[in-house]
Amino acid sequence: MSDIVSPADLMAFHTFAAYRDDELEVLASILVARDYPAGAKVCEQGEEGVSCFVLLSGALEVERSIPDLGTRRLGSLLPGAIFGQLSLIDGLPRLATCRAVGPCRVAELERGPFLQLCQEGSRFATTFQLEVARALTRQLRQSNQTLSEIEEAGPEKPDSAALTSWLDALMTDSRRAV
Amino acid sequence: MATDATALRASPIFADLSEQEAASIAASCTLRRYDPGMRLFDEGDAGKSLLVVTSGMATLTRLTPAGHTMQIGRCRTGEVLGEMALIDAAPRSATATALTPLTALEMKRATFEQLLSAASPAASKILHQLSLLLSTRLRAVIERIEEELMLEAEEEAILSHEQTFHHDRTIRTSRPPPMPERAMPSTLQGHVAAAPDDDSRHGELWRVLWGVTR
Repeated sequence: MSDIVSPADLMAFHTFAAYRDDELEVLASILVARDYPAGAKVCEQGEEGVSCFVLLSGALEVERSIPDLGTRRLGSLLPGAIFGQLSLIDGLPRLATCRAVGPCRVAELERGPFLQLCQEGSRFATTFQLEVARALTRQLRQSNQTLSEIEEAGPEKPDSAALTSWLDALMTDSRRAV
Repeated sequence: MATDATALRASPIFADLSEQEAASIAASCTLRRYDPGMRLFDEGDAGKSLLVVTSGMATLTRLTPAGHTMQIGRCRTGEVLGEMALIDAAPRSATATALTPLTALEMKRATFEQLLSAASPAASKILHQLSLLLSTRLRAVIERIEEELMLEAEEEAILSHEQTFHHDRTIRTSRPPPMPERAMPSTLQGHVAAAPDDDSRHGELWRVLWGVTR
């Protein structure tokens, strides 16, 4: 199958509703599509993050392993999901592993061309980053709210069950960030 | 004397701007001056702007449920305060107070929205640095919670290990010695009450968590 992505492939997904047609053309032009068999890892926790992805078809499961705390399943990703934005933005290691549940097709947006578009002030890059900044702001605000609730419940020492459920909520909400 | 545009570009969030872009944005900012002890904004205020500290230092504090003032961070020259106000209109999550004579450039959300709707390349450059700042925070929140849970798991393991050896129920009440508390800078002593919690590790945990989610 070709590695070309057409703007029409993206327009079908509600995750791209905020983008204009010309912005999706720019995005499609720099995306590279790949097919993965069932069980294959699209990205792995801890590896250097040099891109983000768009799931075009199939499903992925997301998980994160932490020493002493075990492996946490963070749910699954469905077609249209954009994931890996944190590493795209900051170039730091992946927070989670994404594995193909069945055969799937994923388009990759590499950091180099993306940063080039950011520096040029491309409209696509502006819309993309605004979406990322909104998601991050929402997550930090939500975290702030959760922290308030934990603090009110136990001002001396945070309750570890509350911290665990906060972490689960944060990671599940962030699973697209990986 | 540095111009406002130079001062803006010295801040990481505006570092990618060209001289002309910075000059144009600086012209739409308001220069604010504060004496030590004056507040830049209060916890709960409507967040309508971002502030770039162009000289001096501010402290960020919040009120705990027990009514203590907790210091959750500091802001030095070149750093920004209230950056999430560019994205949404949620209330300020902390109070910012000048510790020294302080000057700051204030950029209103409306100014940023104008840049966005004009599809200005400057908006993309600011957003890139803003996203970087927010992603660093999100990673820090996740790491800090995990670190705390790992420490608790280790303590549990040590306690249950000791119990199997001593068969002593009272051992449950003993805790490992707390981690040393980070010394408070001398400039802040007298301005900010120490953490309300005498268990310094948890006092520090609250401070760090509030510092990153703010």
